[in-house]
Amino acid sequence: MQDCKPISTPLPVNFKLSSAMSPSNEAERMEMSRVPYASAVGSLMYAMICTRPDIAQAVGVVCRFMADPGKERWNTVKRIMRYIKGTSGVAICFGGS
Amino acid sequence: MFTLAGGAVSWLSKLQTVVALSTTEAEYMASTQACKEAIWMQRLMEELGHKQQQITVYCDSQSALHIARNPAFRSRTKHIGVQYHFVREVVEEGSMDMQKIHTNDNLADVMTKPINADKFIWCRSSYGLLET
Repeated sequence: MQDCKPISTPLPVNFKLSSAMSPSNEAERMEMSRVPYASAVGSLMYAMICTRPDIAQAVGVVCRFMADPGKERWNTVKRIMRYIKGTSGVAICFGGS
Repeated sequence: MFTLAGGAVSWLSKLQTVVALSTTEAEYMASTQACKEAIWMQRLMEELGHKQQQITVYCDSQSALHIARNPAFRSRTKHIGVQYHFVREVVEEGSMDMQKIHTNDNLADVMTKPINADKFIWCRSSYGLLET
């Protein structure tokens, strides 16, 4: 992820994750079991709770599929990471600019 | 989404745990949640020596606003639980004011749906999330 291209929003407009994106066979499920989906979402959640309300919605969406992550959902998590990469300098500032 | 001195201090974005039968009902329940948080924050601020007269809660659903402002009985809203009518009570009391907010000015849209980059960046800076 360290050489990924930054992106301006965490989720594209009109984006939906559906239950149809669940892995359909054992092979896909095996593949996803090697992916640290839960810990990646956990890390994003940590950032969201502390200082980044802007990714709250995106994290909420990927959280719904913790039990059965599919490839497309994993790509969504990675998209949020790309957004974070582009905006790692952003922080909450009190008292104006 | 609550802001203080230009920065966000409290925010929440979640899937509702109860089933709402209409969007109006969903918005109404959400505004009750917001009121509870607002009252707590108002008391905290008072203790810290900053008294606020009246809090304004912004809601983007005109119909939820009407239910909150007008304590009349309607057949369409008779099933809404008593706890969600808490917002009615505080609005009647005058400690809370509910106002309509247009989609274009709604800061909380970022928390509910994916939106385009322009509005996203505008909302983000309104939360006090700035490039440092």
